[in-house]
Amino acid sequence: MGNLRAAAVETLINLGKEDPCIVVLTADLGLVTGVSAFGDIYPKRYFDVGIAEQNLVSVAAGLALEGWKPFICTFAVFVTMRAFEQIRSHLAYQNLAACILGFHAGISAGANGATHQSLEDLNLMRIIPNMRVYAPCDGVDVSLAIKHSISENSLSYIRLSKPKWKPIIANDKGKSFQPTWVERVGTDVTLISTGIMLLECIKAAEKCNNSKQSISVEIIHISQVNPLDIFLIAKSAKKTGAVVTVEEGLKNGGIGEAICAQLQQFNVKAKIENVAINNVFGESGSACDLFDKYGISSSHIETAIRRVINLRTAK
Amino acid sequence: MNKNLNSVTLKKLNYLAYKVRLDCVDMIECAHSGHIGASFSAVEILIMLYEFFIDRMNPDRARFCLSKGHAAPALYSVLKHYQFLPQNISWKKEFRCINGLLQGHPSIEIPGIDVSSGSLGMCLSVCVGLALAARLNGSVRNIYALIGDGELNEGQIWESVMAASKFTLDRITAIVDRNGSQGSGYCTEVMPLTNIYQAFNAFGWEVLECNGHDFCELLDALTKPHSKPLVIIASTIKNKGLSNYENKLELYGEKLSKQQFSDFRKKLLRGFKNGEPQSCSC
Repeated sequence: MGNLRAAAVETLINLGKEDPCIVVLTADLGLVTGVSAFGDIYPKRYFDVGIAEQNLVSVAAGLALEGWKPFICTFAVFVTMRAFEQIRSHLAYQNLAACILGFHAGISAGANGATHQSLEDLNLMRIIPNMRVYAPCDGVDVSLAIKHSISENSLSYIRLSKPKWKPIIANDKGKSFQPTWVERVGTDVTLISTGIMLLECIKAAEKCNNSKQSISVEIIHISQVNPLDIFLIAKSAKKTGAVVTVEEGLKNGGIGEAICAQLQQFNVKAKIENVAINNVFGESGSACDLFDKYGISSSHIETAIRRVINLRTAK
Repeated sequence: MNKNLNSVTLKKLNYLAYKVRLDCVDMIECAHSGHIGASFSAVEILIMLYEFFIDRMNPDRARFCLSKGHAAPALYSVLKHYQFLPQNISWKKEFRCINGLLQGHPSIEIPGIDVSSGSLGMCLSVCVGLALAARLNGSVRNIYALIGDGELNEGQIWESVMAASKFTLDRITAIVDRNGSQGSGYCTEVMPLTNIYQAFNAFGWEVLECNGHDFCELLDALTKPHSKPLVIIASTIKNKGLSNYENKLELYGEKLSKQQFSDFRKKLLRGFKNGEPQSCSC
């Protein structure tokens, strides 16, 4: 399933049947996110606190303190920023098991414009102690991530980007969540994708492969941004010597920077380019137009691949 | 519960109030850090809660959140006296020290602390969550929160007040420690909330008022039946028991001299011998 939002709702409903401790909370976005469907089936375990995100997170903390498993469901931009302190001081500092689902995330949220596009959510959530951060690539990955977060019994943030795109993982039968995996084996460059950018990375890799001067691109996908599984990335980076990281978020404090820092610690000598949004706010537009204008489309990734290979060759 | 406190109990509670204030002075002097005024105004309220309403031995006991977390010294002393903490606990080693148990603001690692607090305005929301959890559990346990009057400046307080009303959380009792002053000065000057009673009432809460240093009035308010969330606006005195400092602004541990701490102990002893701080309307 390519629709991350719908996958999250379906997973919550199914899990809610098996686990009576799961409770769902929202801040007036039950209908828009679809989580009100959980409330239709399990009304006693569904709480809408109205447009009050700080209250939303702290109420969830109260439930978690008493052993309930809250899923905090609202837009990424509102929950991670309006309620950042509550996430930090009530959920993380008390080391509570709760899951924050950040809907409508990324610049691909599109038409609503900058105030509703979260470019910072992954950057902010990954610095909080005790926080697992997921950026799933499609609906199946969302479902696996949610189940993984419950099994880890820890505090989690799961980013749910808006677009309904082509699913990448065929189905989840018998699969367990993979924090990082090799999507495509290659030899010339390591392309690291996060979240829904995997599709753009695959397009870029195919273009590179089919071009006159064919480039063999290895794609490593990260679905779990924190803790980061650097080993797989380091192994590939050592092999290729050229790395391009891709994220749907701000460059400052982003995953690209985190990977750079960690590769340094592993003494990996590679040329690295970070494809990310260059510390500006977004604007209204379609996801495709925004990816193009803000430099994170498959063409930009392809350009970055060629640039980093040239740098590696020139050294 | 017998709402009238007999003289033996009153004597015991008065003595405890004196001891708790002394403990606060000791703690804050050892650490050279802490809030005297905020702690002192909360003493009788805390003693009342732990004497009659929070039973350590009950697995389904009431929950308590010190939302005005900087009054932690008073809470830690009360927890010791009601045996949540060891009787031989060393304030010098444990309060506000590296590797110490007793953090500057309450933290859930400390026995007896139900909610980590300190950042103002946030904990009443946690209490809403605790109350929802109790309802889901089929429990009738009460949830108590002690809030500062300056803390009512925070918007999140009113988010939680609305939510408590929406979910008809009649097991919640919030107590406002109304001592009239906050960080930058008197509440009436910094950010006036001219009528706290009306504000809570407008949001659908039951509202009572009492003298926050009078054990009988506190008991009366806390035992009043209510079918809505209840707030008790307790009028208190900042730096209660320190005569010429009463109703002045906060006394921060960092700014106090050894002489002043010694002076505080003498004032408290004098007051206790004169039958202060407690007068009772029983």
